[in-house]
Amino acid sequence: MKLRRFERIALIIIATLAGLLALLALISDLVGLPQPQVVFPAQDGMIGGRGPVELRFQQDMERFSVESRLSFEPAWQGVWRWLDDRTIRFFPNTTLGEGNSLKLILAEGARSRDGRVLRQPFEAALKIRPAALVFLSDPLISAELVRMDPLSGENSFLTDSGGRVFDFAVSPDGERIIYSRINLRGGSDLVLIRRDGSEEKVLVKCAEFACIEPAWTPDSRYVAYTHYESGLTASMVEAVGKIYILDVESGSSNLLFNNPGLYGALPSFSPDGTAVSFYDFGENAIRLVNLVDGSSSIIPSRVTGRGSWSPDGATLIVADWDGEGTIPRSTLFRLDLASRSVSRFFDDSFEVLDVSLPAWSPDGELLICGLQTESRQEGKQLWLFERSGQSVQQITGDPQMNYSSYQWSPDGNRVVFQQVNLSQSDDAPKVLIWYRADNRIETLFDNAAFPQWMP
Amino acid sequence: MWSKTKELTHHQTNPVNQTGAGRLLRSLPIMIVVIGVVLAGMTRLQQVFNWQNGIVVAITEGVGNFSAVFLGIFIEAAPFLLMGTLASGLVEVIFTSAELGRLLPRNRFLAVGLGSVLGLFFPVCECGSIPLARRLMSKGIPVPVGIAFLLAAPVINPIVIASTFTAFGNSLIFWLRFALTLFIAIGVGLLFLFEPDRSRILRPASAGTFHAFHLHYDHEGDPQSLYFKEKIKKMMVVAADEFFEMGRFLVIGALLAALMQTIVPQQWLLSLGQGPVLSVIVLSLVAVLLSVCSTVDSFIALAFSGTFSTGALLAFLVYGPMVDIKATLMYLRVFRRSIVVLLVLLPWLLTLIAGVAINLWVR
Repeated sequence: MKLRRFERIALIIIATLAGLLALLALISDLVGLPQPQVVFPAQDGMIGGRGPVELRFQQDMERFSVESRLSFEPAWQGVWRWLDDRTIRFFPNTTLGEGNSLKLILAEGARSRDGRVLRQPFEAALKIRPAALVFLSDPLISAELVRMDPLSGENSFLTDSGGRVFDFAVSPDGERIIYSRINLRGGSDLVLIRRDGSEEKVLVKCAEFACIEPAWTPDSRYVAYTHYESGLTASMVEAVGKIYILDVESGSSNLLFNNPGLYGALPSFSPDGTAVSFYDFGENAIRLVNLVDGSSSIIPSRVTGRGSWSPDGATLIVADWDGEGTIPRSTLFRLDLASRSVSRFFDDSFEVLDVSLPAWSPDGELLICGLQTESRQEGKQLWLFERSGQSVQQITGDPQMNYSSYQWSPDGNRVVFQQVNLSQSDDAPKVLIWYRADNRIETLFDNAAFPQWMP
Repeated sequence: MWSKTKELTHHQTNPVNQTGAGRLLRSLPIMIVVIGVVLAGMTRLQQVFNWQNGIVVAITEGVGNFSAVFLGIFIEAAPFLLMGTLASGLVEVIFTSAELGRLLPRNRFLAVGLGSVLGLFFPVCECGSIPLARRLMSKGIPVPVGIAFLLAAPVINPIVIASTFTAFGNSLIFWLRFALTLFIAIGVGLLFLFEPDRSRILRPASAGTFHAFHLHYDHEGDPQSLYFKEKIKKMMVVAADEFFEMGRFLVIGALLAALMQTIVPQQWLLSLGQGPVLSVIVLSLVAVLLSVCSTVDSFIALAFSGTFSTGALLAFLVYGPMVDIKATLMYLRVFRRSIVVLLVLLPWLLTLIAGVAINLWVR
């Protein structure tokens, strides 16, 4: 039978396409798995001292085949966790100092669920970026968030809220900032921005209520915050706050405790993210909630404040009154979470009148703390302590000044803090930095407050 | 008066009205009602007698699934078939063959390209694009242009663009769906440039001479107004005829698709779907089997997105609107059998190659 021209062409095309398909099927094993996409670090391989490092694959992966082939060079201890079948993220146990370089390696042999194999090892060069600072500028009149490079002194505004920023928290991975913004109804909403101030998104609208005191989970996914039903101005006085957990990806908030009689404030997550602590006004105590099994426990503390978690999550330090004098002193207590035992933090020989909660150095070996030791008329001075409670040195010594809002840099070499001049009531606060290596203190920014490091 | 004097005559009698198929067509509404009553009755019987027999329960469950799938496909597709036949009627009364010819670019390649994007002006899914394509070709539009329209229109139209965007956002899948559809539709359309004899492509009833009407009116009323009314009436007649003609194939296609879905376990099919090649083959077959309208298939594909590769999802989104069980049956009403084989096979091979290549090299 003789084929017509159209039929011949059609047959040739079909045969060619079928051949091409067969060829593709044959070489599909040889092509192997495409290289994963590095989600973080976003550009130039720069990441914060606590990551994030995130790999995204184009196929569902056999998890173990990936986990067992991932490594850093030099080694970086931590945990790899799957966000879904295609995305894996590294949660480091330690903070790397800025300027460190390392290499992320995924050895060949990782397999996707459809049986394709990574034939070439995947490598990504990473470098720890210098940590920046974020603080409130002009906090008494027109508060805005400012980002500053402490090395060069370069700074820029992150927000343009009309001076309505109330408080904020930088995510542990340094990629995002959540801040509370006073709204027109006298309450405050929670707003999310990226580290450069872009992609502003209102996550929680609170109308006349105050949504403040945000605190991130270590994986930078959730934020705990206090929802004050009494509004912003009366919030801390009336103390009718509820703790909510906010998923920053979806924007959904859930009440931590659905107990109408339980009020709390100042939430804070444990370093492994499995527990949250907050101040329970009903019990005058810090309530520790295990997020895994839902159990909770009470740590008496008559000084309203957050607990201070050690970086390894084994210890929680809380402040409480010491003794029953007419003007009670406050001091610090150490709660060992494994043994559930409580002990004094300071040596008995160390006299303290009033104390603020300490900040742990990233390696967990040192703590910095604001203390009144001589007179209640003086400002709190900064002291450095070993984790055992042994004092190392007094960092500041100007009784006219009060020092607070201290925070260690991610590399543990610097501490940024806030200074207020008590002798001049109209004096604006300043942000200062202490260099541990040479015990030097520098003023970074006038008329600024509440500094936080952004890894 | 006008109603007494106007005449509407067919120069060529509609073959549907004379054949066994015509009788079948007239009994179609009754058939649907009977099927519905039987299905409802079986369900009711099960309740009344509380049959415990496992086989009976399995059968009635199967029948329940079958009827649900059938009604789902039919109800989803019928409005689009109606829209397609209305558009077909509109084309019939608005354009003459010469006018349509003038609208096309003289360059054959450009004309085929234009055919592939005509769907932007006719938001129909595959059930609607078939009668419309047939109408266009019967009015003298070159077959390659008609085929490019036929294959592309179910995807390249505003409703599907919006639904795909809703499901996948501004993503690779969104853009590749349209690019691949255009590529395949134009590619297959161009092949038909090599067949100058349209009688070898189209079935006789579609070859270009049926439903030619003559309008007659007297001059007592407003000619423009009467002409308009006449056109509307003509459009409706054409649309109704075509709706019922194509509707039976839709019913049979939906029945077949429902039967296949009841017999072939979808989970079993999906469990085969791993690997860069097999996943594309499986999802393209699932698309044929499911026979869902292109306006909603994005949301079904979205459900597969956690399990299947990008290439496989694209095969589902590109091939499904071009070829499925009900569309294939409707193709048989328009094209010769050998051409239908080509229209099924060529887009499938092109889809498979594109899907596998995307799996291997793109993502």
